[in-house]
Amino acid sequence: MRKTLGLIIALMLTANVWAQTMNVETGSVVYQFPAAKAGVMTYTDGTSLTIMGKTFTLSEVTNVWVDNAQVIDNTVSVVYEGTSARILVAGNVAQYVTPAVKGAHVGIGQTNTSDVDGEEIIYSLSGNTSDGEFYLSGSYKCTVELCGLTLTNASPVFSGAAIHVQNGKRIDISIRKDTENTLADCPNGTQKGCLYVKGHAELKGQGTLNIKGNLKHGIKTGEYLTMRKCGVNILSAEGDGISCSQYFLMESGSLTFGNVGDDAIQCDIDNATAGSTGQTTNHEDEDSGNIYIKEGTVDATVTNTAAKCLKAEGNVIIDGGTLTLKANGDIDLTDTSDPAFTAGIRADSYEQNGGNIDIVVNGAAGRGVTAANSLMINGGSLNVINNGATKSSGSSYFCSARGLRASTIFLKSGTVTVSTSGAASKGIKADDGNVTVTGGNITITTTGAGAYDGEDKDAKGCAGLDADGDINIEGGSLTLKSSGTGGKGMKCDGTLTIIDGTVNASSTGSNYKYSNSLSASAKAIKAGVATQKGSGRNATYEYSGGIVITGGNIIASASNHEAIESKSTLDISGGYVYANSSDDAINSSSDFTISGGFVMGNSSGNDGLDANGNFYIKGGTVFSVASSSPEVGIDANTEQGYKLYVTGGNIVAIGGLERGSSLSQACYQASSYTKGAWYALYEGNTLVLAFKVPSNNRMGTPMVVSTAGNTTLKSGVGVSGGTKIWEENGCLDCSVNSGSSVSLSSYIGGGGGGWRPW
Amino acid sequence: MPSSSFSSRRFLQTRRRKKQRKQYDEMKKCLIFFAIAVCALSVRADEFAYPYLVLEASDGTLTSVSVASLTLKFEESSLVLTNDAGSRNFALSGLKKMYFATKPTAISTSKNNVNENVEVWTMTGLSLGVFDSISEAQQTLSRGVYVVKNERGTFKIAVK
Repeated sequence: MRKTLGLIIALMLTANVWAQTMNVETGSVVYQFPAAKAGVMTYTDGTSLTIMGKTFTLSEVTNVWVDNAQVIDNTVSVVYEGTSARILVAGNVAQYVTPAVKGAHVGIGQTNTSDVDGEEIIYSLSGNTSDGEFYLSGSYKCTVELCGLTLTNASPVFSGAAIHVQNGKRIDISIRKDTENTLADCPNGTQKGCLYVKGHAELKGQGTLNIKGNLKHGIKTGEYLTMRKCGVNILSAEGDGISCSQYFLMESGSLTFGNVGDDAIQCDIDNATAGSTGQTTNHEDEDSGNIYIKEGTVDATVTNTAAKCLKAEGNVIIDGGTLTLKANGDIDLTDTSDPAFTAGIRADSYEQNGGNIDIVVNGAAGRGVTAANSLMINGGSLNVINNGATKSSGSSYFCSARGLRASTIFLKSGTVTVSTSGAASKGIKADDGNVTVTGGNITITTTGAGAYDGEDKDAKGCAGLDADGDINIEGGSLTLKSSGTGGKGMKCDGTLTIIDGTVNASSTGSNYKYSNSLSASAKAIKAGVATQKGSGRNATYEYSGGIVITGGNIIASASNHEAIESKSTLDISGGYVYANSSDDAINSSSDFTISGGFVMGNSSGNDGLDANGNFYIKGGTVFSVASSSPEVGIDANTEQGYKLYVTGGNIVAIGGLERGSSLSQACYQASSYTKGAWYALYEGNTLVLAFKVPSNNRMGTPMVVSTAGNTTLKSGVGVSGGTKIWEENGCLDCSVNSGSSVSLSSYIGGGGGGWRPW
Repeated sequence: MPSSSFSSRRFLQTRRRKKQRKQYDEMKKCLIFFAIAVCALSVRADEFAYPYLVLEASDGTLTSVSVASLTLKFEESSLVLTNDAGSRNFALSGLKKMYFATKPTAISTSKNNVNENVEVWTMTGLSLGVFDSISEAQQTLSRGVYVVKNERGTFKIAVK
């Protein structure tokens, strides 16, 4: 019984949807007036008929009939049928739209200035034509709905675009669910885009839109463009895949770009005179030139010279989504004083708060991400593989690749992986500014060789992390590997300050030598600048920048040159520092001060710790290993009148101390030591350090030890527990057993010392 | 006998159930019939929610036509209405307005008599002759509904 009643109700409901409609046909256009709403239809002078505000010239009316067609208010349907188009206009909006049709070229003028019956007008487009278009003019918001449309404009009538909306208001482009729509514009028109909207457009729906931009851009909007849910495929474009102003916001959906002639997405500031408004609340009246990616997927490849996958005159802000970007364009050397590069992302500033981004750069001297101002990573993952080669020509230009480049760089969280292979390329480079790392996992690998920069007249190598200003490391984990000639793991011209975090830097390349006077040394960490004034014995140096370490865990190794080098002063007051090299393990061009922390310099071919100025040991725990004489464990530039001052600290120096040192704290020497053996250093009865003597081929003598109190030493001890430091060459807070006491004698300084002031 | 009494009770119960079942089936049939009837009426009501198109001439003359299969053609100076009942012509210059109606309100309630000849027929098609004007016809004819034709078209008038 219930089923029967249900059926009855269903039938009754079904029946109720039928309604009568008066259809007024003028050429290809049919205006549909529901009988219930048609009201009084007025004749005037026998020449015109007015229905629901729409006046028809009777001589233009080709047919009128009444049927049961259902009319959806506010809707204008355009159905493309090969060489013609059929237009159905809902009666309630008939007075506001004036269609003109030539073949399948449809132009509609819209005149309403407010909602009609509480809603905006919807233009519903469907069908197929190989020579048609949809042109819409107006001054009030509306919706263009794509319902399974294949539209190619072969011979423009109104515009060369496939869809042209000459309306400065908000235009919804709704791509109906499960429909596929393909637009292609005319290659011979004057249009700015295959899909052109003068005002601001909102792409939405759950269908698919394919675009072939045969003249200029694929999608062009005069104002902002937003996108949600839908799938847009820019199959080709002579210019940009998407070009817009004010801002571009992708909330979800998918975007793919192939065969674009310029950038995949470009967003400009609309009012260049007024400049950027910056990001505004809810993007109200925003004219920032920003690109926002909230969610969704972007897959873009650009190949044209200096083309970018994402290019914003404002900022690029990534909060989520998955971006796969390939920048394969060549370098633009039209103006060699201001060359332009291909890039995955280019912006005024770049901010990543989430999302997963993979960028591959193959274009010469290309950039993974480049920002004129700041680059900030707050989360997500960013993976850049930059294969771009170096381009140079004499003294006119020298351009090498960059993984990430900006004026100022902040790495706060997330995962950043960068690799570059071009000569003298940089993994992450702060031009003119600083790099600050407070968190995240950063891995940078450079494999390129050194190269001569004819513009700067200098020999240059690669660098993993490079700043013209300072580098501040306050947290996070950095793994920096450089394998090319002259390559450096980390380098800055200003001050490198490490207060926390983990740095593991290695340089396995050899020296890059351009000439006898120009070369680039491969070092793990280098900071500061020493500027030579004068020459020969009269040469003096001016120092700037340097290295300050107050915390963190630093591991640096270099195969052929200094592992850590300050071209100015070097101050260590905390943290754990381990440096390993065949050259000086740690070198300072000016004064070197250790007042805290745990520092080990292990050199297999030079000094363990070397200062070209004074060397001050005031505290901390120092373990230095030098090669055989004339190298010393701890060296100062005695030749130039400088000196080693020991006033505190726990010290182990294999190879001894610089001659003429000022040893306010008593030092002792052991005449021999055993490679590979663990030793225990005591201050009175307190174990201050357990350390393992390296097994380098060449190691100097004696082994000097010192503590602030009564210094004793045991050899051949067993070590357990505690915390291993210095790549397991030291142990803190461990338990020591067995071993034998080492005979120590007073030590007042060695006879060695490097003859070179560096 | 207990067994005989039991059989009799069972027989009566079975009979009662059959009767109830029959009543239920009859009620169901009625409901279905009712439903179909309602639906049919509903459909018809919707199909013909506005079954008439009323044309009003400049002189106030009303003409209603069924909208079933209705088409309108504007030809030169006339409107040609075609529906299941046939075609009718109207001079465009004499048309004032038109509207959909739920009832055949187009029965003439002429307000603006015109002084021109009209030919009058009964609703069964019997010609009653030509009158000098509609008002003359109304004064002459007995109560009823008539079809009149003049230069402005063909329409109905009611004589009260």
